[in-house]
Amino acid sequence: MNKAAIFRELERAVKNFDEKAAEKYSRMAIEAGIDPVETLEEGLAKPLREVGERFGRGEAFITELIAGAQAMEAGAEVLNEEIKRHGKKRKSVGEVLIGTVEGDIHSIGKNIVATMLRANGFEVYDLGVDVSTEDFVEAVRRHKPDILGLSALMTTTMDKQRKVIDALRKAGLRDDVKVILGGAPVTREWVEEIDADACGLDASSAVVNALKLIKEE
Amino acid sequence: MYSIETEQRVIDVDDVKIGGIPGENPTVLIGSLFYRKSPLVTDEEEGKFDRARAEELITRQDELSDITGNPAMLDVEGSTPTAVENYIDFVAERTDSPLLIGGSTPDIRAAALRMVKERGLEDRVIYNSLMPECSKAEVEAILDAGIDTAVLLGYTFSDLRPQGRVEALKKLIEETENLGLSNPLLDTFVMDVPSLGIAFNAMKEVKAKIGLPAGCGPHNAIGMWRGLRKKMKIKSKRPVVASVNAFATASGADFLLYGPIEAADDVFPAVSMVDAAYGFNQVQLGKRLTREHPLFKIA
Repeated sequence: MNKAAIFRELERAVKNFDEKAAEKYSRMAIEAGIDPVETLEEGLAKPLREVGERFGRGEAFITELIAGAQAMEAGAEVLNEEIKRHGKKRKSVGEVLIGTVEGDIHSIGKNIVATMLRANGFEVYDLGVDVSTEDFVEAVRRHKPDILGLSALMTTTMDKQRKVIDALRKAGLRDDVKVILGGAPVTREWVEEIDADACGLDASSAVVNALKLIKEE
Repeated sequence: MYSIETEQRVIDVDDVKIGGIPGENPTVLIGSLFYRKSPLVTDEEEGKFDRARAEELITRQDELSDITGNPAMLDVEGSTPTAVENYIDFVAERTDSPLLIGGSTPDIRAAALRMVKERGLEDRVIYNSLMPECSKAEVEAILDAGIDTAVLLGYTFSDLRPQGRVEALKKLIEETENLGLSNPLLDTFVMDVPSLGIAFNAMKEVKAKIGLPAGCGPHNAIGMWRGLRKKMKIKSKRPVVASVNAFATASGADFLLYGPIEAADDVFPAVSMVDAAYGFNQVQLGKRLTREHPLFKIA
């Protein structure tokens, strides 16, 4: 099987949510001597981005996106071992630290954004849900990400986004990291009011704005 | 027709029976009253709402419950502690039906549980809901309020198969049982249309493997279905809300968070029809059903 045929099968695996096929053709790509970084990017991440774009346009369901991401992850696990073995690295667009603010346990939106960021070449550290302000600050200090993503699904918890930004400022870290806000109640006005850098009104715009922030750096 | 041989545990909440072999006990229908963006609510923070319309909707749900034999419950949500207190205060006076209460933040939950205790509603309240990785403090707060029945949500993204939901629920049952929760109701987590298949098959597996009452919130799939409006140009969600609940009942649901209470007129007939059909099947198999079963009420 040549490179084009293997990449076609990987695309089919991601779009049909077939984890086993993603693993199988990732192995086949390694055996055929194809660059694992290229296989990961062109064979797996690219079709997932397409699923993500369909989701963004309202043409795919969340479950399809998550299942596609799981197929990609299954193949990526095989490829990452090979990438590591060769001492190579997938070129990272940037590092993102993401989490849902304290008092808020909603994770679906955050998980979708994390998935789409990964598919677009970002390295993502997911802190989970109900993350305290102190933990966000500590994680920024430790990981030194390019971008911090703060998710809040409720009007009652979105004020925590402001608290995290204030705490980053107090800790002297605000200028080291771009802050992007997400969640149903978030607006552009809110971004300005609390001195964040951008917002993701949906998963696609979160990715577009994250890429913009990286370019600005 | 869906049937099951595993022995089923039936949980009783204020004389409403939840669970059993499909067709044995009518499906419990839970309408949501003060959900996010409800047209009833005029001030989400303060919990102000159209009281006359709310009362009308509660009364209509109770009427439909009497007509069909499907027990009714109310799911009461609120986005602030003040709002949830106002809502519970109102509904507790307007209906004798059991209430599902909870909250998305610790302060809302605390306010709701405080109201339950103050108003002596413990016996007719179900906590909605406990999710995987819920804190010990949350479970203890429910038990301290005197509530012994809670919906456990099989919320998981790591395994999208029905077995993934079942495993998540098994773990949650064990954890909450160890803390003293005695009556779990298992919600197999509907998120969108494709997840209906996972959740409905998970309900069957839950009943077959665990034998506890199972259900879900099938309306979530309709709320998230953008193509319904965009592609099919269908303005009314009513037929699909009725059919998705009937589909869930046919898959063995013991309880359904059927969606906004405004849909009661569509959902009760559809679900009672499936219950009557399954009920007759049980009668043929030798089961004696109560005269309050939809089979004997909706003809």
